[in-house]
Amino acid sequence: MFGKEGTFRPRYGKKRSILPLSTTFHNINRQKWAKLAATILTFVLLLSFLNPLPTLTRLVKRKNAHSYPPAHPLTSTNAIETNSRYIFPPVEHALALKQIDINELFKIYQVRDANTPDIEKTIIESLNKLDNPDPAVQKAKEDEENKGSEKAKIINAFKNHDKIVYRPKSKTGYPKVVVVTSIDFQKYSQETLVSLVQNRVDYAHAQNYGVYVRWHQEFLPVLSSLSYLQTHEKAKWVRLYCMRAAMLAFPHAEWFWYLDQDGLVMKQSIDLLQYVLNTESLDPIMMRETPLVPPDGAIKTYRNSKASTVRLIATQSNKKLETYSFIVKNDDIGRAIVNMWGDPLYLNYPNFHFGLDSALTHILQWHPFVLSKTAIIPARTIGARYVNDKSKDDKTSYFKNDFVAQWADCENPVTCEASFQAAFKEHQR
Amino acid sequence: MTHGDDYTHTFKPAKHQLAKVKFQHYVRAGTRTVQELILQHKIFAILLMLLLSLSLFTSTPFIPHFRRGDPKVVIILAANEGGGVLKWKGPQEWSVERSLIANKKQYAKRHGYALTIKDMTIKKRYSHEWRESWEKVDILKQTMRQFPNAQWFWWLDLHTFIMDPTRSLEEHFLDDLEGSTYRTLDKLNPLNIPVDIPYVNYDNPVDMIITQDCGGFNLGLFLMRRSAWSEMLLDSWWDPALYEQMHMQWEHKEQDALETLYLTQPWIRERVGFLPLRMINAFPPGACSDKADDPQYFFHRHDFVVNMAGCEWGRDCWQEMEHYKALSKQIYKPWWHFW
Repeated sequence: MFGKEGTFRPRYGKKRSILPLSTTFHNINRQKWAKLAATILTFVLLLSFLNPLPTLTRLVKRKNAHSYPPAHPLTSTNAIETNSRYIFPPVEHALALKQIDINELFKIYQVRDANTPDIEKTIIESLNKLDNPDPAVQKAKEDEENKGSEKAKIINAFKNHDKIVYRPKSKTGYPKVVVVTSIDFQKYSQETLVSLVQNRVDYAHAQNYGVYVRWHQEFLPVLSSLSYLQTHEKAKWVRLYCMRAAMLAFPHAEWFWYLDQDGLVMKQSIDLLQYVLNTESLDPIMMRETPLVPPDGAIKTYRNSKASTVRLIATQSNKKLETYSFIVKNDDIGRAIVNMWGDPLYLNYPNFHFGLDSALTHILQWHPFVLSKTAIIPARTIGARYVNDKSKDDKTSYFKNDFVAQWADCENPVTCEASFQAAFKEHQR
Repeated sequence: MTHGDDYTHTFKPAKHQLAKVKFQHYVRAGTRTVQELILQHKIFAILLMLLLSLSLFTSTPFIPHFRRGDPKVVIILAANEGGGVLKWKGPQEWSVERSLIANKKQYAKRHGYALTIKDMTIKKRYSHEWRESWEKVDILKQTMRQFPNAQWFWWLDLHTFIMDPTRSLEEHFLDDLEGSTYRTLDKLNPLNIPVDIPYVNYDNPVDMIITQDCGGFNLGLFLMRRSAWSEMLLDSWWDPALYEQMHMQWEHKEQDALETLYLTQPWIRERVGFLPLRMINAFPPGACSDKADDPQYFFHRHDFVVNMAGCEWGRDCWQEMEHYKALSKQIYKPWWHFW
């Protein structure tokens, strides 16, 4: 009896009953509607409170994905990848490069600007600008040229060196420090250049670091003046531009150490990370409250700067800040400092009598943010001056067992070569 | 162990109840009272809950909103520009200023942003030719110190009017920065800045949002995120060596200086994002007169902000402002407002 449906139903509607329905009978239905309405209302309210809509729409909405070109080298949008940690130009071309006219290595022309019609501007363009946009086509073309003549091979190697970047197959064993140098085939003989590069490669090999070496002349497009390489002070700018290129070639290294070509790593067993770069080793040697311009400059390094925030490490001679040996940390701020320091308006500013050194002094004097990220360390750590015994002083000169010897203040190729020979002999011993 | 030593046969009720028991008792009594109250005033309790949740989780108008924590966005309003020693303000100018400030105040209040009004009267320390009207940088630095927990700093010149008070910056573009900004100048480039320079890595997040009008960068309205990058930019924006060489060309001070930095320094490019002008900085007809037929610069119905830049030269600020104020009211008046 109970299993059958509809048997126990009160009679209403068409099946009228003789008995009246209870007065609250229809409330059952009304309550059902009220309940449904309340549930919907609560749900809507909850939704609007938790507000999942923007999140949902963001998930559903196709991301307006802009794609931007990757960072590229100075003179080309194409990069040549290598898996060798030691990037250096074919040094054996030095002698031949010296004999090739500069107009064959670059495209050089003069222009006049409408704003300053009285000044003729020199534009030095890399031959990479004439490249075929397709790297494969360009490579085939160059291979053909290289077979034809030795000279074309040398020119092509010279122009392509800017494109080389380090891209290992796996990140294990990525060099933590990269030693950066730019070498000038006009200044040193080919044998000397070979020894200079070999010295850096040996050191990098001993410490598991990377090496990045460039020709001085490759940076003529940034300098956009042939005379800059001939002037001792202006030529210093190449150091910075070489550093900037190195930071692109080794994007995941932690530190970059620029050591000028007028210098040798004398003690190959010293690990730069342990010696200077670790926070514990850097903290005690940071020179705090030291005038930027010795002996009594008004602006001093900060008293409370922390080693962990240092992005730029430089040394001082007895007269000024020096840039023959400096270290930059590879992070946003480190790169930004290098970028800012290399601004063409600094490069061409006539009041910077010591070129790059003056620009650094200027930046540190006027920009407290950069100053707070900079450490000045004793010269003998990464840039001891190699001099003959008579004029030695304890603070800046090279003594036996110092890490580095440099002779960057040498005046002309002859004295530079002589200093190199003396230092190299001492290193060999 | 023996019984008896501590055991007494006489029953003594504890004079002092244990604290825990007492506490439990009070809690129980309290909950019971609350429950009874809620049951007695059901409708009232539901209304109260509703109000509370509205206040805490939404930004519905006419309800006091309690917000925990500091604001994420700070609006910097540069008022009184060029005022002070140079001239007296007329009653219309006062009225314009009052309305424009009220507009930002309402907007900030509605979305829980902070508003700080900075006086731009010509100060003595900037009166030297070298630093004249270079206060923007100092004001930004000062505001960043003032609001140490804020993330974004939105600079607004006085003569801007927020047309759509309902739209928050987050939903407008901050939540999808990469999608809403463009970072290379290949589409719109009034200054003919080289689009591609070496060493620029666009993988970095956008830390500064600006717009371009017909004459180049427009710093009447921009946003900056607090970061080491922006700290460095604020520090290097003004440099005596650059200024000495460029000040004859730099008519618009910071704006031109930023253009120069953008032109040559890769690290600046890496974190500057551009928004289409109309998205946050639409111009009224009359501005940008040499590009008067290009619709991408000029205000359309439902644009977010209108920038009446330059209205004090040859146009009528007060009329313009009244026009946009009325228009905004007309478009965004809520339906339940009959007045």
